[in-house]
Amino acid sequence: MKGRKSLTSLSNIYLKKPFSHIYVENQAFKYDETYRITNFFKNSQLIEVSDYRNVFNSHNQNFNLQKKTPDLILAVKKGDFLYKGSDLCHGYENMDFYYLTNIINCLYDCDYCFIRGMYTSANIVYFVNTDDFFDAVAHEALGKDIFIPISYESDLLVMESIFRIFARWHSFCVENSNVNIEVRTKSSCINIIKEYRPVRNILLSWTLSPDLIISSYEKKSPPLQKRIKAVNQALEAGWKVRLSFDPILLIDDAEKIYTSFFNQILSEIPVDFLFDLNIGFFRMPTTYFREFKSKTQFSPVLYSDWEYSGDHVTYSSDRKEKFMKSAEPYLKEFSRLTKVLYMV
Amino acid sequence: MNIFFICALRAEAKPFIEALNLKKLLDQKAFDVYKRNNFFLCISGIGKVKAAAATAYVLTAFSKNAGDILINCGVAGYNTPLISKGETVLINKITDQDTFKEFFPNIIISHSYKEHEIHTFSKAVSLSSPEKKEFVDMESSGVYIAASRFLYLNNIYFLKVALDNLSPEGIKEESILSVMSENVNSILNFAESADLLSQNTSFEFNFSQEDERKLSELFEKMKLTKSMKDKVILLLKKRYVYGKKTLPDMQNIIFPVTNKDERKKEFDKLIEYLS
Repeated sequence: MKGRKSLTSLSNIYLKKPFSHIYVENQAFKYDETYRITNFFKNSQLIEVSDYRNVFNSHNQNFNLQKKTPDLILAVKKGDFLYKGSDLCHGYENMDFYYLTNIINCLYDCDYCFIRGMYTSANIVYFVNTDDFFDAVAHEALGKDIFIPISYESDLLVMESIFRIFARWHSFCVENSNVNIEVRTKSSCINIIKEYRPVRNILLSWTLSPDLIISSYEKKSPPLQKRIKAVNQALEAGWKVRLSFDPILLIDDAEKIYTSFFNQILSEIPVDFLFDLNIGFFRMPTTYFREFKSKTQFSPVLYSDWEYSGDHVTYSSDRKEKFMKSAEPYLKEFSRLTKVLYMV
Repeated sequence: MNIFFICALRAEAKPFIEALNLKKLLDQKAFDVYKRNNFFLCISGIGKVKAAAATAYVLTAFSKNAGDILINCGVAGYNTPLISKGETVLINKITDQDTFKEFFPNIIISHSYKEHEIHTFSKAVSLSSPEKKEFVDMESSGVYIAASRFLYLNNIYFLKVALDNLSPEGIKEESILSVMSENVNSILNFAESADLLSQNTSFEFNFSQEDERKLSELFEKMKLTKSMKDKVILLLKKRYVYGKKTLPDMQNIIFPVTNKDERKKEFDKLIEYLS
């Protein structure tokens, strides 16, 4: 039986560099942001497109190969800028929950990412009309508090040196205290955050996983120790910090792997200083799962006893129950120290 | 992986046929198809409809895998100082001049060619044509539309040699033959790189012919339903992912079945064995 060979150094010789090609929607040339980005990538091949979806939505793209060397698509977002948040995601203090996608796709390559089920391309799309997003948010937030995870389909912090989106949201949040944002990340880019003062309505959220999970299934992302260091530095600086153990992957020996992980977190992070902690098992809308499966054939993540529960897929109840039983002492300890939100 | 060349003209194809020592497949009637080992070449004729038909024809007949490579190579018309006569250009965007639809070959390979977009016309374009563009041909969009149904977009390449400067006299066959001969080695080296890249980055499970035969025999013996077969294949993939890379010997533990109860019993036994 033949399967995927791991990327050898031989194939690396033949792969182009990331962002060697930048596709630019004709309309995007009206925005200064487009020129700022294209100047950043001076040596890249620029290709004009009439509609970014002609590139991004094409069928038969090799998603996994594009992940190794993504290209960039600069486009103008049209239509809706804000969407109602999913029931499968954690909200925030009962506020109206929306999400937006200033950037689609991510530099990290996580086997379990729901984006594998959503899109046929791993190329990064950046909507250059950022001001339109802020206008939409300001309009929606009139007279009420709202909550927006801004890293919904990407990890913004890891690309902050290019797109500078966190910088703009920081300014916006200082001016608009009723707009509460969550910046979820796996990055250890604490230097970026150190440039800004903590703001009450910005929640920094780190996804943490056991090192074995990170090295096996969260490719290109920083190891656990670096993320823990970033979390602690953010806490020391006075930021509101959320930890996210999401998704928990019930692979072989998951109980043992996560026991060791929980011990590490409890000993290395002052959990009582956290804003809260999210815990969730892998789950995915059924509509995405089929596409996800076709892209994830080589990952052990895929091979579990799945249960189709309503409109989403998750682990079987028995499997989850077994895990929760073994994790109980730790979850109790976390609950004693901070607020714990479950999505199980 | 298989490597397919699509050429519109015999003069474009001849250098490849000679360099690769391809033999004509006498049982292929719709289009002239040449082959040796995993190399195939099809001469489509001029125009995007023929090019699309030839592409679909040869891929249907011979392609086994979305990781196969297809290269549409031939001469093109040029009208820009950015491209020199006789230069091979890798196409990164195709615009069909009838529909104005855009197509984007997904270039992931590292290469040394110049890149440019091309416009596919239904009829020959000359300098006096009001709609002339910088780089033109008559096949690319047809090949792309057909090939993209079968292959990964990053495995579909368009290598066009600039020859025709859109003069109304057109181009002579000897000129085509000459310029393609000058570029054939470069294109073949590129094809080899593309093939190596595809082989080393295949993200699909493929059973060998021998394993497929064994599985087929087993399924026949057990008279499995489609969903039962899918479950067995899923477990075999899981075994592979967890490091058990050879197909287990299942024939000796499973008995032939004659009814549904026996099938269920043997199926459960097989699942337990594989789990």
